[in-house]
Amino acid sequence: MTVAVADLIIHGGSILTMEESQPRAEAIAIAGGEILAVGAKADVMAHAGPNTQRLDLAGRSLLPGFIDAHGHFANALQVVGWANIQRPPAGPVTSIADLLQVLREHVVRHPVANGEWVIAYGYDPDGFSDGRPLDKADLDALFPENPVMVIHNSNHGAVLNSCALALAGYDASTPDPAGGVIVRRPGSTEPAGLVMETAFIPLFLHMPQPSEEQRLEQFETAQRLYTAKGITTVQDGATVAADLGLFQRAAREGRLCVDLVLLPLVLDVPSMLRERFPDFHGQPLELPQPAREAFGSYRDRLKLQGIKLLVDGSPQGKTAFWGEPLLTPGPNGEANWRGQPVCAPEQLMEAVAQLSAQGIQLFSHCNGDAAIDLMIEACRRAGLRPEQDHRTVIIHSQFMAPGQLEQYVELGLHPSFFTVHAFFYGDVHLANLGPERAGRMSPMASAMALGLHCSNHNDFSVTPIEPMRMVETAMTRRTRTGVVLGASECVSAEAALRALTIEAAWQIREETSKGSLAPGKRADLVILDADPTALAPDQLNGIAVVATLKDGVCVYGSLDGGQA
Amino acid sequence: MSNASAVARLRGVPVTVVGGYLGSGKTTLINGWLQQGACEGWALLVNDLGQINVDAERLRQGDGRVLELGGGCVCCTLRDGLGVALLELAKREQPPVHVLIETSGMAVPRRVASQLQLLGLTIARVLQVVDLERIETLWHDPWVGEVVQQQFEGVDVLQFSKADLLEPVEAKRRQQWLLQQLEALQQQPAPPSHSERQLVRSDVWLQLEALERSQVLAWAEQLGPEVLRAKGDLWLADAPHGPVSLDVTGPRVSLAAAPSRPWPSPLQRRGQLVVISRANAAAPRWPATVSSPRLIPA
Repeated sequence: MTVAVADLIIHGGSILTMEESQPRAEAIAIAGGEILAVGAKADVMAHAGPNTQRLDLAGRSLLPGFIDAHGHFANALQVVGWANIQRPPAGPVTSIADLLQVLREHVVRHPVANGEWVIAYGYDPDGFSDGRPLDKADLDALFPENPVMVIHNSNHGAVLNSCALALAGYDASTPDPAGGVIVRRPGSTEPAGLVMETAFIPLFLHMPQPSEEQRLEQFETAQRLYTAKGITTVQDGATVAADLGLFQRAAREGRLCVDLVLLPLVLDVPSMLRERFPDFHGQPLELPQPAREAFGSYRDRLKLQGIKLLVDGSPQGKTAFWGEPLLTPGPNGEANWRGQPVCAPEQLMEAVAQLSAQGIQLFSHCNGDAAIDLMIEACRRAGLRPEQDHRTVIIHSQFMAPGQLEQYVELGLHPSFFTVHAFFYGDVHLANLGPERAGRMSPMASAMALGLHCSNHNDFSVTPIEPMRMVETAMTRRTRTGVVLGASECVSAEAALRALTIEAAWQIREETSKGSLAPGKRADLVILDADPTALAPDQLNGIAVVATLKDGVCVYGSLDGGQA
Repeated sequence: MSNASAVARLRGVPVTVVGGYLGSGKTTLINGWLQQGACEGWALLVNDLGQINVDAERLRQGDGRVLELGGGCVCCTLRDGLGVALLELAKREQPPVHVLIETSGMAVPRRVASQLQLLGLTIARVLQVVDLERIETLWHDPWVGEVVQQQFEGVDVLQFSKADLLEPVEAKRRQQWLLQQLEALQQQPAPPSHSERQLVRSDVWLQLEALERSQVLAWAEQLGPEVLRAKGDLWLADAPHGPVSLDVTGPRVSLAAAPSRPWPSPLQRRGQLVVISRANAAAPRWPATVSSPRLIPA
């Protein structure tokens, strides 16, 4: 019997397989972009040939490449051209002076002509040591001739400089719009720079739109944000009609070095269909046969996975939809505020019924328990049952009420959690919801105990791409100030890692080819400089990615230096 | 400057915002107005082009985003967002004489109006379409009750629909019930209501010279019952530093004591008044043409 010869054999460190029957291995052999063998070193070495490259991990660790269970690749294309002014750990800014320094450096790397926009993202004055928020004058000194937009970390507003305010036409005479605010300087009506909500939305009309060519050029840098963190399967979790063509072109031109999974946004499905099937006239969400068949398989590394539904907004923005009022006023000062759904229940019921009947997998954004209830009701009315293997994913499943996980089990719904919220927004949730309700966020331990397939996500660009912080927060559920939210929902490092790998693969129907290290699976791998199961949780985010392999090819870092 | 004036060509164009919960009858009303020829030269921004009264063939021939309806009327989908639709309109050779927006069933119409106002368009009227058959149920709905209530915020006129599906007495009772709910909720008189299917008339007046406070009050006093609502920001002789807001609903006249904000610049003083009246009303007279008692020459 001939033994297949490996291209590469890796050994000498922790190899975490995510396979329950054999969680750890001594060595792994890969060939032709697939895993040839994994297990005891002696067995794997049987695949060594004269041209086999050997890599000694030298105590480092190897895991399956991480799968982005939910995030927005389209945002990555955008932010790579913007200045990162987030507070630590996501960025370097702790003062107004830091922020200005980042902007200075940004325009050296991305020069702007007079009149061109300078955009920064992640503004959070809570992280400033100055004791005051950013004012337009701070920005004017640096940019007298360029409009500047410093986007708030909620993505619902921005600080503008005088040039940008003038472009928008906002001055002391402009009244605040309903549902929005133009923040004024004390004692006057003169804008201070910050504009929020309905005062922020119209600004996009004044922004230049990058051309398709400009956006295509960003693909390499944008994918590097992911590969640098060991992610080999990336999601665009709310694809709009205008972007679908862009992604398809990028794939055709061979610009993808990782797999890209798309979830077309339900609202945009009719325009996507109209553009591609002008002669098809069906019900509003009826897909022609070729469109249905376009789902579920890769073409040039691009896959349409399912359709994204939106049921509510964000908890930190208080636009999620809860069953009971918050302890604090609503986004516009409303009393007894419990948020609102963003879609009419009738429309949601219709979409769930129509799409699931056509065999389309659904991914539904639900943050608050009332939004989750609404989705559960829609699935119930659509007759969804676990044995249909429909794999409906409830993205975020953030603030679940008691009893809802049991209904997930009954209907076959599975959660993609967002545990890093504990760190980034946990203290905000405590203030808004109190310890009991805040403690029920992302109930990963309960969900796993019920046998649900749980993934975990960063929802990039809502939070930075940090797989290890996902592991840490799933284990500790600790806020910035150190409060533990719902200690009973903490999970082990192994369980937290499964949520980033095999369980995330299951949710996109790729558990037979990705998410664990087993013969025949794709050689999507990440090498870390430490074993995440061997460190204290607070050490995890310091782990560095040494190399990322996609289908056996190194797409980040290097395999040198560890040659056996 | 790059594209500073992307929608500058729409500056000052009057806007009608038609709000209302899903299925309240917004599209039916708009189709009726189209048939009556009330929308000549207008741009209609709607959620679903397929719902507008045009034959399927013409819909098919369009580019899916903009549809010529004849009579200089153009229809544009809001699917890609309000911003995209406005850019589309601004690109056209002939800017529309009026923009009508049908908001989504979950939107708060005043908020949509506010964004258009910030972009320089003039709000002619914000109508909230109320399905009399369902309003009581929706008001108390566990999922959307709060949204439904919030949609009435800052509405100029209530436009009742589906009254014909109810006994006249019942329709009347529900209207009264709603007005009571709104007054209890907003602590102020409910907006005037309108049950006819015609589009309420809206006239906009630019005020280029200062008025006396008494002139404005006298003008408001003489408005007839055909006027549903008068609103505006006025230039008053006793308040040279900024516009003073006026709101007239039926017999209630509210004229602010002082400006809440300054003029854009001392040279840009300009008042604006919108009068919303029943469809068959004559053009309103404007304050300048109504003599204040004090100004009658001795």
